[in-house]
Amino acid sequence: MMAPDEEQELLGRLADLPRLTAPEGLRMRVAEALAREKAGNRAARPAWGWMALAATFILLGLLVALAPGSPLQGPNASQAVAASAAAPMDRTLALASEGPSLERMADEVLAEQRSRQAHRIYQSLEFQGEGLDLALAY
Amino acid sequence: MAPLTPDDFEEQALAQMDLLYGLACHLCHDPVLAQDLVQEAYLKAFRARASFLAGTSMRAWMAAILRNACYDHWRRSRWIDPRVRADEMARPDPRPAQDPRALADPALERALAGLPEKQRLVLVLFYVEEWSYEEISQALSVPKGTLGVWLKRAKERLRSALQEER
Repeated sequence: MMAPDEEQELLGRLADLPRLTAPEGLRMRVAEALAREKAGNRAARPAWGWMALAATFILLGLLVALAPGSPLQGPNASQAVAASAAAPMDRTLALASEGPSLERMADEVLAEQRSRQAHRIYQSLEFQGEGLDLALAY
Repeated sequence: MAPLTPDDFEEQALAQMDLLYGLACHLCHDPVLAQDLVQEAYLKAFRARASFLAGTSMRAWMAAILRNACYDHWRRSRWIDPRVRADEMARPDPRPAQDPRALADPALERALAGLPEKQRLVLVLFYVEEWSYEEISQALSVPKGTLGVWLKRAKERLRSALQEER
């Protein structure tokens, strides 16, 4: 156990220890290191101004591209409907100008159907014939 | 509360440089190494400034960072095996003090250097730097109740060391 006067003497000696002062070189080093760190932070930070400007240009471009009558735009909905409606009409008119009758058109369709059916029957017979050949071979 | 801006940090933290340098000298007993550690502590503190709680003591926060920087340095340079438990880190440093403080009271400085790191820091912070328990508790990450015990042991050990010197 420490005697009170002993303790007082010890604490007095401790209190008399001078406080150190940081060397000027250290202050400069730290200030420079912090400045470098701050500059690095600034460089790493995204450039919000440039990003906003780029976004504005993109939006403007989109608006121009989507504006009605823009050369960048294809046919709009009404133009597309008119075109699709006009196509069969044009075909009909063309057929009419060539002068085919309804009867002849029906004949053509029937002939095509018959030809397809005949082809299917031929294929089926061919298959059966192959089967028969095989059966005979055995 | 908004985190510190870089300029606010610089203004508040740079004001603590003398104190941090003194602490670093007490921790590592090497003025050159102390400067490196102080610079490292400042950079670490700058990067972690968002974690500083406004209204708390800046110097205690910086001192805690400096102390951790010292531990990191010791681990890196293998002065202390990283597997050693934290309380065993408090072993006395056998090397004599080399900082200018030694000129003022060499015997006391040698005795201080012989104390375990925790006891040395508590004595210096409380009696030399005149910090409050609150700040020391924050800097050393120990409950305030423990500080009283450390101080008592540190004083007794210091007295014994001084008696041995005579």
